[in-house]
Amino acid sequence: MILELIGRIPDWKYGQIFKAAALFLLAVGFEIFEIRRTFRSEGDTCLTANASFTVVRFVLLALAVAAGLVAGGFSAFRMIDASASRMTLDVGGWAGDLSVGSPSSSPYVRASISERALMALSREETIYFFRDRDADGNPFREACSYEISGNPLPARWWSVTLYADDDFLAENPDKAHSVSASTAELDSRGKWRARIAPAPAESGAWLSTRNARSFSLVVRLYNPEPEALRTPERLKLPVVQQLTCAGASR
Amino acid sequence: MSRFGWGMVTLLSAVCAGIAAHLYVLNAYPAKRMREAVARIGQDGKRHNFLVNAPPVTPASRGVVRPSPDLIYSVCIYDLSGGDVEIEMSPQADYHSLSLYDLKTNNFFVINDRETGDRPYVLRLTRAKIKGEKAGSGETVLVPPTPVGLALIRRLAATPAMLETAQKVRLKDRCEPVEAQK
Repeated sequence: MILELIGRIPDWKYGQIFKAAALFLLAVGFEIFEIRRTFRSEGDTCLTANASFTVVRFVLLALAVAAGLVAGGFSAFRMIDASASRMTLDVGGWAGDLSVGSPSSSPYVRASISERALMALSREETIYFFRDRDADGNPFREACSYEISGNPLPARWWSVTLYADDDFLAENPDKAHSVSASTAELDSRGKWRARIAPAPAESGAWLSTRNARSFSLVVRLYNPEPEALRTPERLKLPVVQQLTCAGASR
Repeated sequence: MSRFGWGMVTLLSAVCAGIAAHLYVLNAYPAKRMREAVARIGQDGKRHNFLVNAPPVTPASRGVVRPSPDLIYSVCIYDLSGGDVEIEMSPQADYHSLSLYDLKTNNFFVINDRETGDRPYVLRLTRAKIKGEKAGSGETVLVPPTPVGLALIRRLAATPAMLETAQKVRLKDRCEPVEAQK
């Protein structure tokens, strides 16, 4: 019955921690039961008192280890979730790490990438940058409108893609999930821009936020120029400015 | 042991358990995610060494997080338990690449059309110790770090015309056991 209950804990992320801790405590419980039974069968009052003392210490030790297991596992998952803070590069608010996809990447970067960008390519092929906040540091929100603009990026091909808060494309029929080197239109100064909003602007490129909730953006640079690999911190990545939010213009 | 001694043992045990759990989760989690992807795509072993041409990426694509809507993907779970496996990537004008991943999420091999040129690129995966050698047929031979892993062919499909071309060209791609060709 107890094992059945433990088995019902969802086998995913935090559930695994509690499952491991619960199984540990269950095993300790059986051990305590065995100790008590052994001492009781001896029938000695002195031994029984010792047994109680041992059991208390054993219980405290078990609880401490279980708490350690939960805290350690929980902190690991929290750090994986805070993926941006695990990246070594911050280029104008875009988080990136050139060790993505490489055996030399840190356990934190590797775990973060497996959670939010599984099957990412190594840096010689592609560099990735992520952001989920505007230029003022506020989290992106579906209800707000933004403008993203920049110069063509130093790579054979590049793109900026918008993902919903579940890290998949936003569930809408707008077919406006990305802007790329193939679709961006450059103005007379050689810059491109796009509206990030639930509805398109009268003209220009558009990234739809419908059903994206608290969304994020990913920049991909396929076959980056050698300079981008040498000094990624000097890259001029797109700027994202909030235009309006919840009906109030800035 | 004194009460202080027991307290220290308890505290140290909790700290050690915490560090161990933290490191275990960090190191085990990527491999777990990769194994899940391999099991899902390879249908738990029933569809190994078979190239799956995934449909164009849409909001309904929920297999792997953060897919690019500007690319189309073909994926194969390679499994060398039954012998060598050959992967072929057909040429086209736009960007395309073949990348391989081991079960620890490492992208241990990647090649793109700039390197392969306008000829079909054939990669033979083997467990034999002939790493880095080129076979006489012109195919590249590689020993993957893990006998089971994932091969991914990406093709640029950012416009309807690119998509149409890429979908036609990738029909010639393949991933199959070498034995199957005899």
